[in-house]
Amino acid sequence: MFFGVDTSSFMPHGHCILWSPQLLIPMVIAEVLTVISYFLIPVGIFRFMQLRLDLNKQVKGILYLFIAFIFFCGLTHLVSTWNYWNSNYVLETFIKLITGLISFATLIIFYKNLKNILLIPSLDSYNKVLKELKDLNSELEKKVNDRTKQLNYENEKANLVLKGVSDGIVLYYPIKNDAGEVIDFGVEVSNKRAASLLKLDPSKTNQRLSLKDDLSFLNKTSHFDDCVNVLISGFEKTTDPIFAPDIKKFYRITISRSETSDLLFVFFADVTEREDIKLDFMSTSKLAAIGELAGGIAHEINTPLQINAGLLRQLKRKVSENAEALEIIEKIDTTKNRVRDTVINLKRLSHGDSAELSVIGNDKLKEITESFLRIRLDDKNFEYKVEGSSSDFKAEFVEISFSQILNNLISNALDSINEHNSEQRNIWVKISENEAYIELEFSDSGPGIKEENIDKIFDPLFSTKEVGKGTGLGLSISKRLAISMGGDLKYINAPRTTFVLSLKKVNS
Amino acid sequence: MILLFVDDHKDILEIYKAEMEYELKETECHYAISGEEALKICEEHAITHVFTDAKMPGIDGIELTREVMKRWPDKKVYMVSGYEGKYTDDELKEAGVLKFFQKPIDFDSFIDFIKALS
Repeated sequence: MFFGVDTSSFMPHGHCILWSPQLLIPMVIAEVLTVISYFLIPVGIFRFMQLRLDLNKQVKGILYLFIAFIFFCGLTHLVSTWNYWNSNYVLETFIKLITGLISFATLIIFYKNLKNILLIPSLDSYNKVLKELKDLNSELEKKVNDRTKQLNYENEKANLVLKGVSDGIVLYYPIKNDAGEVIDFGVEVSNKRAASLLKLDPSKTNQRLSLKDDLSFLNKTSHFDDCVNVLISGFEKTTDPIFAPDIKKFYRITISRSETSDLLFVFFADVTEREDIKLDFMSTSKLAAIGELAGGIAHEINTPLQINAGLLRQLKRKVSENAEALEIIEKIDTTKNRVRDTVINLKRLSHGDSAELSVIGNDKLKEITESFLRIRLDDKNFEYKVEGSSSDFKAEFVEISFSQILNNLISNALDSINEHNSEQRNIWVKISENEAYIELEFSDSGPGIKEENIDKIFDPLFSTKEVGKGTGLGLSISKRLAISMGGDLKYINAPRTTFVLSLKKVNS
Repeated sequence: MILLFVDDHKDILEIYKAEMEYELKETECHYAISGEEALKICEEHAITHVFTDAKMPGIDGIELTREVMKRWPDKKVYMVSGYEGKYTDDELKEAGVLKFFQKPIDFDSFIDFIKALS
């Protein structure tokens, strides 16, 4: 019973075709196939909706309607099949009604949204878009390739420039403490040149280093303070030369700050060779000037000396009976000789005299040494002694260089002894020989050289003398001169301040 | 042997004179205070040996030597000077200087040298 209508006594639909199997069987088979299809198609549509994430709400709604409409169509066929043998016509009517309503609603909504549905891209348009995308992609790829090529070229160029510059380029990153004070700099080496210039371990050059720990040879210079000043002020600063005593090198260092950050660019150049030439030039030009002056006044001094000598001889003849007067005359004569020696020695400093290697024998070496000591020390309440070698040797030397070294050593001994008011005022020179060298041990009774300074005494511009008194060049020039003669100048600590000048022995 | 001493310093000439009169009384000596005077004396006397200073106003030692050698090649010229480095050995030799004496000279050996000339 449905809605007051009892259809149980009605004929099943099969009767309409009189149960003719030729019609019933194919009809039922068709109905069943349709039912299976109409039930499974919505499942497919639902699956499609799940997988296609790009569907919009409208399309989804229509598809849901399609699912419902197909499903109910299937249901209608199912009931129709059932009713071949039964007579549930009210149920069939009810289901057909729902199916009709859903179908009609689908029809209306489908047509209403047809325009939107048409917007769903077709395969053609998809392929077209795909092609466009591919074109765009290859164009982009080409652009990227070009750009990469250009970048590589620029990079290569920059590397070439970095490699080619004689300066070492280094980046500094300030390291600050909690109070904001710069306590160190992180150091990054930018080119190979920098690594070799700064004598850095090649394995370390890829890491960020510490200025204070890894470039510690700059600690004794003003470099760190310079960097801090540039960091604060932003003004580029060039220091030339800056001497690193630990590695005995001169640098020209330019520090400039990045305009956009706290980064410092530091350019290093090795100017050791130039400074060496400068020092050599300073020493030789100074000597040449003295020598020239000495040459110029030699005539003016020697002529009056000649007159004195002649007059002394006449005087000597006149007082030949008076022993006391003769003694005085003898002393005057000795003094005259000293003046003569001074002029001769000063003249030796000039270029033209003997800048070339010459050979000197034992006696002559002792004689020259003694004459220098006599000239420099006679009137200064000094005692000096030159102990010659007993063997008969010959050594190579450059007279002008030897004179200068000796003069420097005497000056240093004099200054040291005078400054400390030492009671003992002695200078000893001992000449000895070993297998390859003739050695002059030059020692004095001064207080010696302080332990902490021993490593630095041969460094150019190092001086412990009062400002304005020493140039700080004496020993460094002396050492250089000694080496250029084929010898050396060394310091031996203890028992006294002792310098050893070695000269190359000539085997006869 | 007739000697000529040339020096622009009068004091030096007087010393030569004193030494010669004491050590070589018999030898005839002449004294000139300039190169010009030396040439004049050479013209008037049969000088055998000339001892000249190097640096002099007017005709200097080396010019005097050249002139003397040109006009009297048999004369012997020696130089006595306080300025050793003014001329090289080659220059002196080329001009005709036979020996160079560095002032201040040691008179004993200088006198010995002159005595040995005769």
